[in-house]
Amino acid sequence: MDDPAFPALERLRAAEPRALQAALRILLPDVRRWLQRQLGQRPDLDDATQDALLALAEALPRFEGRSAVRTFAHRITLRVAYRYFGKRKRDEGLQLVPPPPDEIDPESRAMDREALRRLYRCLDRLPPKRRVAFVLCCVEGLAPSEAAEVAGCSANAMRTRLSHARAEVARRLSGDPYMKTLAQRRRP
Amino acid sequence: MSDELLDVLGRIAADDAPPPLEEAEAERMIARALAGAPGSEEGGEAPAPVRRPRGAVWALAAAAAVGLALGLGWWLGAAGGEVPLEARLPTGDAVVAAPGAVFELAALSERERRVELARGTVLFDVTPLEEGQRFEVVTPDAVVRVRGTVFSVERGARTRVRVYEGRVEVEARGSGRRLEVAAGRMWDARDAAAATALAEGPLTEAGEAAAARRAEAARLAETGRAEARLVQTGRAGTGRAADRRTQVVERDRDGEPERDQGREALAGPERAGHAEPLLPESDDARLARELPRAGRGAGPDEPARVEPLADLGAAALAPAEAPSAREASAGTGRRPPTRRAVRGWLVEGRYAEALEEARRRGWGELEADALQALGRFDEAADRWDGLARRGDAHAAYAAARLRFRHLEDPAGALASLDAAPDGSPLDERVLGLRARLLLRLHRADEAAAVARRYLSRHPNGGLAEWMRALLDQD
Repeated sequence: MDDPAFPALERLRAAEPRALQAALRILLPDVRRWLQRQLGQRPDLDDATQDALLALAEALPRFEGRSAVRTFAHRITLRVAYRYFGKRKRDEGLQLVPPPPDEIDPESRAMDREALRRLYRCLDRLPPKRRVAFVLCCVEGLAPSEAAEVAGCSANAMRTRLSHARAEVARRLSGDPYMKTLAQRRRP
Repeated sequence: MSDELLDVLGRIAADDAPPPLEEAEAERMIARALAGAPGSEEGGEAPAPVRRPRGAVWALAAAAAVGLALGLGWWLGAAGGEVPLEARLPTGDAVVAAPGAVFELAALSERERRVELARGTVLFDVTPLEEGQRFEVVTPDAVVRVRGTVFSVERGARTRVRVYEGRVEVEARGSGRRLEVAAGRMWDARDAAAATALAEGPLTEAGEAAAARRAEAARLAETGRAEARLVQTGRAGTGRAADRRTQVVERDRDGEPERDQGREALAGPERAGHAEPLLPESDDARLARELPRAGRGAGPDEPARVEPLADLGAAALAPAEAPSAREASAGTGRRPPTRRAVRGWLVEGRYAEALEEARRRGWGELEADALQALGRFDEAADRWDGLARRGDAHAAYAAARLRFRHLEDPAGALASLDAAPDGSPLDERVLGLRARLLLRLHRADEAAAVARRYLSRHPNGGLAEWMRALLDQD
């Protein structure tokens, strides 16, 4: 952990409340961001965050220091995210929205949100492991080997999952006219 | 779709920051996480303005509970929760309570599990303990310590401990005398210095022990379902706790007309479902009142013989007398399994078979229980909702609980709860859950109205303190 304020491993292993509290404070923004990226925008993000913090509070005293603590925390958070996959309400349908605007303007945020909504709706239909591979590599920007460490699989397995995930996302979104418009307008 | 657009989408997702979290809320989350280690969930249904963390362990453990998955709560907690008939604790321990059993999970953490048994019989299947971990069952005249085993503790006029697997240490309270009781042996507080054989010859074979355990579990579970007694107490440790106790007698869970011979025999005034004051009844008197009923409950198709608890001995526990109902029916090849027998399959973990049979026979509650045990919460909730449309408060409550606990759908849970008729025997729990759901949905005004309704109907209820706190906050 780069953060010098992060408590010493020994104190975490001893489950010192103050050490755990300090660790959770430092990790909370990351945890929330990881969950947001895995789950997308959804109303139960706070619940997932709470669950992840709980899991971390339980797991940190068992952390043996074999990996970076952030990787360890990311892995624990990912496990919590798995529990939330598929919980999105099934009746959440797509809505008719205006086509994406021509240029980057104040409405671009809304455009991005719509694109995200469609992306996560698509990710909801992916097998969880592929979904995780897509988010870790394409959203988090991790290399397959780094993503593999977080996901607890081999780098080769991660590459395979990523390849399948990208192909499947591309296939599923290819029929979406909104995405087509977005692709045309984002083309340099 | 091009790779380029996928990358664009990835960047958009990466730039999408989560909604801001206020510092105070972040601190509250951290505090709850630190306090939420296993064992701090004893509050159970007692809600907080923001839901307590559930934790997958808890949810999954509840889902996998042997036949627990009933939609009912499971704590007899200091704040007045609910008691299970069958439950698997988050630590993996299985608990099966006989009818009338009154016990409290006084401590539940990774290091210490302590059950205080006031009366009745409870079977424990304890997962092997690690160094430094402790599992104790405390009765007024004995302390039972285990290290991973299967045993039952009966608190009638005195305490009896039956060990089916492993060994336990029993300490007679008062004398401090300790005795190790091995598998196949029984300890009786009347003769605390020795343990007698549980069966003719010790149950040394693992298979025999397991069979005896299953038979005992099935027996307790079956009778337990027939006469579920959910007891709510006041805060433990107060001198007036007993005065505030209320004993709630649930109607039979299968709301459909009972045709099983045993079930008919079990029919009594309590079956209709109502709350009654917990009379200062002696254990002996209670047993005398209840046990003959349990004895009459024994039917030809039962998975295990139901013997009066006081006489429960080798005969009732012998593996040869405890074939599963399906095996029994398969042997004759004529009689289809009874509902009771299929319920027993759930206890044995044969969820898929139970589901198939329940569907074939149109036993809705059994079907919902099996679906829930299989982790198919969506379908189970839908099934409960279907049953709730008949005005079945239990089904409505079960559906709402599932939607809330497992499906993260408080709005759906609220809709399910709407089907519960007003003033049902589950009124107290329905109101508690409704208030909690409304809080989750940020409908504080309505939650406060529910709290006021609760307090007007149940001023001494287990959630009264929490409801008052809710109103104070409001």
